[in-house]
Amino acid sequence: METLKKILIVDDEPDSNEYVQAVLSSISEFNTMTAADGEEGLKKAKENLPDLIILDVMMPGLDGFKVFYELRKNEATKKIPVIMLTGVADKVGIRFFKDDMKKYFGIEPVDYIEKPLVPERLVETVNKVFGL
Amino acid sequence: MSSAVEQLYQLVNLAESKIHLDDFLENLSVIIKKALHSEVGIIALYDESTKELYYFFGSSDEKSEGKNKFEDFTRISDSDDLLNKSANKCLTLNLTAEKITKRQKEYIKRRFGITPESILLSPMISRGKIIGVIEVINHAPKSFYSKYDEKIIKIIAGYSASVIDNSKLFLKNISHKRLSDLGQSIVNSAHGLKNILNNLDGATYIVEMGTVKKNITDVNKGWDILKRNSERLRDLVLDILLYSRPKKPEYKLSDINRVCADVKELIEKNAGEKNVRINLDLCSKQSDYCMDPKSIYRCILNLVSNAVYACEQKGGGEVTIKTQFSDAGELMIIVSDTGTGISKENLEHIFDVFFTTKGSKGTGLGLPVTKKIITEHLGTISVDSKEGTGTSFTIILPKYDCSKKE
Repeated sequence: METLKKILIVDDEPDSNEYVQAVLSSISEFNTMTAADGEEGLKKAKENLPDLIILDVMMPGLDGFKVFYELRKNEATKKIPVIMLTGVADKVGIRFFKDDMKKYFGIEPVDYIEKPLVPERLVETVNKVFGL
Repeated sequence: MSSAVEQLYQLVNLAESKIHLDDFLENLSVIIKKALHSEVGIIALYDESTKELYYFFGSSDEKSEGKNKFEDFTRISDSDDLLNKSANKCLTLNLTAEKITKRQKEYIKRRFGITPESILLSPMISRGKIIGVIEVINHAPKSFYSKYDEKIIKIIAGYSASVIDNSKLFLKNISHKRLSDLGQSIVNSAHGLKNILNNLDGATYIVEMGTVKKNITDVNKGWDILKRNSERLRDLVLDILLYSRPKKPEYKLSDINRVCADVKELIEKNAGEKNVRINLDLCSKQSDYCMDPKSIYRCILNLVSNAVYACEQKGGGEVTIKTQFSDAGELMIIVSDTGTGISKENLEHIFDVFFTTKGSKGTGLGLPVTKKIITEHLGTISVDSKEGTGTSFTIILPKYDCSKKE
């Protein structure tokens, strides 16, 4: 039997986590887990080594940008694909961030999905990551 | 005294004075320029965490893009191989016009407004570690840097390296600072609103999913999210309206101690569950005061909720609401807590609209609304906070005569 793909969702909005999980469940069966802030997300990512991380940008404390940076710095987690959820459309900030991440690590998040979330967009991106 | 020695003397003085590292670096860029009779002085710093060089300060005699100081934080591109070469090989480089590539010339021209004739670079090394690189550029035709200049730049680089290295203020993780600034710029937007809309969409999605699959658990789950978020939306919109509409206080003679006790009563149970105690330290004499009791209640409630949150983040603590009258008849309301305190950076922004450090739990409107109400009462609100120790907000309301009809 094939083991289920592991997906970690990191967002300080529990309701948003529910939403993302519901959309994921429409694609296929996944082993999803959630984290309520950046630190917990980082910890769970290192412990569980998920196949995909869906990461909110705006979180108190360790925000999504910093979590991404830490993930990429860590040997074990640096290759895990990341989809970033952005509650605000700070186009400039994201472009800045994108450029930097590409330069530092030669890799940037798979995609940026704006909130309010369009389910089809998440489905499409997740399918792309898993080649479904 | 030769100008180089004069500049070295200045540098030593600078390092001995109490100066912020950024200011030291900015001054350093001018010092190297003057010491080596150059048009441009550049300081680049090395970030250990990313193993990259960053531009820090540049000072130029010529104005480019309307300025002759450059303070930025860009990673030095691979195309600027001179700086990287000097850093990586720990080499002092002395180049004359024929050794400077066309690309480098164009780059310097674009950035600093001059065509380089000679360039001198020296790595800053302290205790065997590379700290950064300093660079000077000269554009006078046929100019070149002498062996003596090389010694001067090496002395400055070596001395500056140990100053920077020893400085407690050295930004160990430059890129982290940048990332956090980036996060900050986003903080000020109405991020709460989008999150609520997102959750409402999510609720509809989950209810629909439950309906299609005839799964009552999903329907209930979606319904709960819907209720919770429509309530949040209502609160947020009401706050926005309250904030944006000027409102003259509806003055009424009211008991301030009663208002404080009401706030305590409302919040006490919830706070207790989070191991936060609420104390009242109320003035003993008459406590009737002319104010808009509903609005003032709102202010105190906001402050106390914040205080409880700050304590909760620390695992518990105490919140004290104190009232006091001055001899002049001013009313003073102090809400203090033993919570996490507010960092210096955040302290500047606490009254900014939509600024919040509470994530989904904050709207970023509580303090702006509070300040607005106090201002409308012609009063003042001030804050005193120490990170790790606690915060105290003081409201002072001037005396107002309720019998006065306008």
